Amino acid sequence: MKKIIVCILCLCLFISFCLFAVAAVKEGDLKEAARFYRGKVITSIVPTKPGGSYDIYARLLIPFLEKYTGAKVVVKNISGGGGTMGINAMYRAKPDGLTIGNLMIAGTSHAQMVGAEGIDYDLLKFTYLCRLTDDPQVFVVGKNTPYRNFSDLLKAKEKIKLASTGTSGATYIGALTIKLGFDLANVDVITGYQGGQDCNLAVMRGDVVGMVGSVSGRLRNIKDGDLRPLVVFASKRVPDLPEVPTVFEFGARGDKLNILKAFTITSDYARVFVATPGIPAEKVEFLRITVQKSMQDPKLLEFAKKQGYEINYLPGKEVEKAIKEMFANPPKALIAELKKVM
Amino acid sequence: MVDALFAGLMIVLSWPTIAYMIVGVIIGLFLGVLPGIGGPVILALLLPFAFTMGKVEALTFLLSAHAVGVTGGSVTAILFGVPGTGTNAATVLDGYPLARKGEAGRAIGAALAASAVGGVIGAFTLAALIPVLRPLVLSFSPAEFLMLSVMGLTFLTALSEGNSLKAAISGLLGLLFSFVGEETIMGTKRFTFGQMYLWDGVKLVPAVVGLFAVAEMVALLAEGGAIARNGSISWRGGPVSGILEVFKKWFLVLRCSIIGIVVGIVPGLGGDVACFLAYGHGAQTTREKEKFGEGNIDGVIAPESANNAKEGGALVPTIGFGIPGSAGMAVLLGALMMIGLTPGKELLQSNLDITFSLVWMVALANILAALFMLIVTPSLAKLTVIDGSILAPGVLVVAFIGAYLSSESLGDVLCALLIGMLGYGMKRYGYSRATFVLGLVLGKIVEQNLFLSLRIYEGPGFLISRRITFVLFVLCILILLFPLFRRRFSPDGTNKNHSEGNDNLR
Repeated sequence: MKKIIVCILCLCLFISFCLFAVAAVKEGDLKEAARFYRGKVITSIVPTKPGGSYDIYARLLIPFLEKYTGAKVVVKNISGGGGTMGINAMYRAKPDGLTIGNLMIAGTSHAQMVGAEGIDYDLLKFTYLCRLTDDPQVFVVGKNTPYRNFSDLLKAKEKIKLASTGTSGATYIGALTIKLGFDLANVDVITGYQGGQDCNLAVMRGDVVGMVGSVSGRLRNIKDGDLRPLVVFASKRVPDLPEVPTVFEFGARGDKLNILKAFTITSDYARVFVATPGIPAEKVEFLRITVQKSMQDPKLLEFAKKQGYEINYLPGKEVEKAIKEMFANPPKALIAELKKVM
Repeated sequence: MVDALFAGLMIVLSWPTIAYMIVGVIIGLFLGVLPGIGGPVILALLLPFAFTMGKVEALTFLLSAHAVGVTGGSVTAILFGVPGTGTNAATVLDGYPLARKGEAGRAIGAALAASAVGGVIGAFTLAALIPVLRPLVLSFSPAEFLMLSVMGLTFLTALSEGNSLKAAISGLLGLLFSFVGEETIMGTKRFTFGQMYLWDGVKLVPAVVGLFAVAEMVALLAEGGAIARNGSISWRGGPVSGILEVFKKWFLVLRCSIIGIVVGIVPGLGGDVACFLAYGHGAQTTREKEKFGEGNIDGVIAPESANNAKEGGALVPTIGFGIPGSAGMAVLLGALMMIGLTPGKELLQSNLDITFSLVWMVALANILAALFMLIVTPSLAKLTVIDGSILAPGVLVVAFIGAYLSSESLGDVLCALLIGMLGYGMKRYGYSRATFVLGLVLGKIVEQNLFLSLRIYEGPGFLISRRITFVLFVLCILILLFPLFRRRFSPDGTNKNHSEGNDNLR
């Protein structure tokens, strides 16, 4: 008996010693990484032209990243292929920890599941630094439509037209998610509007019944009474629209549930910061810590708020987990539908 | 309402505000002169500076810099055939030939005055529209966008009278080029040859840089001599004569401003279209003896009045619904939110004075910009007498940088180079480059809105059932028949302006 206790004690000692050793090594490595970054140039890739929201997020972060990493941060706009070119570049860069970038999970994840043309990246392999913000999506209809709530719409027999941009955009995937996630054969998705805001106008004009898009991009019109929110894509109700139910409150199951979940994950983890895959662990740790410090800097938060850009930090590890979960339960029917157009 | 109008003016004229406007105008002009840097990029660059300013000052600074960015761009378009932004592309068509005739000063004077007057008209139309702003925006749907862009295509006829075969061939070639890339209806990738760069289609800025700047500079080197062919600036070259012409042609300016405003009000049509529509309209109605594309002053006045008027129009959906009418307006929207103003009903009811101050800002910034540029115009015009062998390499460098800056992609440089070779060929053999650009700009919009309308209204019935669409449809037919009427009723039985055809833009 005594022997066993001694053995256990020894084991405990050994384990704690090992842990301490690892921690000590880590501390040293982090210092090493900090030394590495001092005076280096970090390239922050933006997959669109200057002036868009990706660009503004990247530029907002520059002074803070520079402050905490000691490196110089340069924004590089690589636009083309609807963002694919820039994201490919983030993926293919040298894994020295000097290339980061921001991207959106919506669109990219579905494109990868479908195996769309030109995609060289693998979202499962990216190094996730953090989530910048979530971007809950809402299904809105025009104020003159007869649908007071989502149940009204589910019962409808007539044709329901939904507006969307091109077939690789989030508005298209959102509209398809409504159609397939609730098995509504009478929904007709009209593609070809120029952007999410254009779709808003299409709904207000009455070209179409409704559309799916970000809450942030529609809140103004909802408050003015021009758009009526029916249902939100989020795991719990959205603070901005407390009376609007989530898509999960209507008892979807099986593949339909996967379809709704996949789209919800893309809006829960909407914008993320990534680095090239295969970066040494200590550099990943260093980048994650500095990104966290930057994102929680009160000055950055104030800057972003002033400009109307949401910052809602979550650690990179959680993003990684969510992406894995999403790819483990792929929305089969949706992918089959997307394959026709991607 | 009238109180708010004056309260708005007071906001703009109060002391630190006006200083911020002047600084904004100067920066906007300077950045606008650099090719490839247009309104939205200017705003994105200046936004960080605005953080440290007061609310109204920040808004004044940003809006005035943005509003005058196009004014600066028109100067390089005229002097060297290098458009500052896509919006200035139409100005190249007649502005550069005028510079070749030694009338750069006159062209710049006309462009600046047209910009200023157009900008003011745009601003005050915005003011007049405030009560009906929301229903107005909602009355334009894809069906109307379609007819507006088809109307643009009918202007091809005006540009191609005479040597219509060659002009038609270039117009169709332009349409064909507009089909390159991923179409938005089914996501099909067309003519991309496995190149991801081509997914986004042939972009306007590199295309125009190639067609005009590259082709013209190559031609200049081949011919020898300076941009001003005679090596001197002609007596008609003074900016004052250009300004006077704008006021003489007030009706043309008014009509083109209205074109600009309508396009601005309609989000999703794209600002570049406005100038080409106005250019086409100018070609149709000109009474000048010069052919369009060979240095007709109307070809400068028309697009320039449209492109600044457009900004007033673009404010309409931005203010009324918080829906930006252009890329620049999207950034401006961020600025509005930054100072705690929510676009939508609030800005039209409780904050009406601020809304009117936006109107005044656009108007005053445009006038200030024109005055500033006029001061430097005589010296700038002298650049056109420098020998081509010295000037052309420099201009080519700037042109390629402009192509690159428009999206920071080397593909754009290659695109400008290849289209430049095509452009030189077209110039050599008398194929109209104006119709090519018109086809390129309008092709995608026509296609997209045609399919959207057919799906929304389930068939082509919308042509008759929608009132505005129907009116526009009838107008298109009239425009197509217009040359026939003109020929019949003109005294000598022929068309005076276009009798020798359009070998222009050589």
